Amino acid sequence: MTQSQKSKIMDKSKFFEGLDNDMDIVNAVVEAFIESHEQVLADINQAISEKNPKKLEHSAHTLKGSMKALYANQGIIMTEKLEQMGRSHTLEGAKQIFSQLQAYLPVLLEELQQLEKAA
Amino acid sequence: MTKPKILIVDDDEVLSLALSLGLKKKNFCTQVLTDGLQCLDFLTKENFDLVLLDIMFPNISGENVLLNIRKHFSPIELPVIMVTSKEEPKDIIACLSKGANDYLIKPVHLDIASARINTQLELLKLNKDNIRKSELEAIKAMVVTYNHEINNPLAIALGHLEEFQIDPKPDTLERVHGALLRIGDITQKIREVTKEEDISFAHYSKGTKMIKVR
Repeated sequence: MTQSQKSKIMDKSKFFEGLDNDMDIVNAVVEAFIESHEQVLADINQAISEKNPKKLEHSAHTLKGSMKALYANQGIIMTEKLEQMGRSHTLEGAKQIFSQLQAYLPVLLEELQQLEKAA
Repeated sequence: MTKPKILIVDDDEVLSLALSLGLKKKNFCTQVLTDGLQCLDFLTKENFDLVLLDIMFPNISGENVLLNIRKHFSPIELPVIMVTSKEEPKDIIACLSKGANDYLIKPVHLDIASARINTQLELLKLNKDNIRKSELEAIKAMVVTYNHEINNPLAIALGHLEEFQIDPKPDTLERVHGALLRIGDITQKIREVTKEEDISFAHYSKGTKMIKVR
């Protein structure tokens, strides 16, 4: 993966800067995301399966907040789209974006795990 | 010095953890609450200096949590800073018009959060200092007023009492009685003034104020 592709996954310098370049906080935040993301992802999946726009809006909004905290740019865009779909009650194409999100998350997690190791 | 107590109300575990740890390192005392519905209950049981409030919860909107808080605490008693992913001016204006003191856009930069929190806490302190100054001014003015009001009839009563000792006439004693009744009226007014919510001041002498006694 090229450096420019990696920078699209997450903006590490902004992530560090936003957390005062404090590696204790960086690690704790990474850990919290690793532990919590699966449940939110499951909520999004369930909302799409149940065709529940309110639930989709909320769960996508929650994951978007985490993505923003990590400066995970692609993740922000995808969760934003899902949230918007929930808000406008138009779930068409939601499954597709969810699949993209599922494919993106392991790459993001790998990046985050490397950050932990480097610390 | 006690650390300012900040309540973070956000169901996003990642963001609330980042804020909580970051603010602790900046000398704040923090507590995290993930359920907006519990927020008011929490605030009535424990004292906090400021609330960082998310705008969206599964079972209630942050705006409604804010409205509930404002039924019990004014913006100068308990500042609330909304923490939001919503960047639309209409969302921000809606929160400010419902009583939010400020807002922070996610992702939250720790230095910006800390600076905004400190601004609100400084305003809170200035407001408390002003209230204390006004209260002190009212007490001083009250002492000056009633010292003056009581001294006059007291001097009259004492004068007539001395006069009565030399020449005990009934009308002299009546004047003493009248002066004492005047003191009685004044103590009644003191009781009434303590119940007043709005007190007006008048200048008595240079640098000294008096309360206007009706």
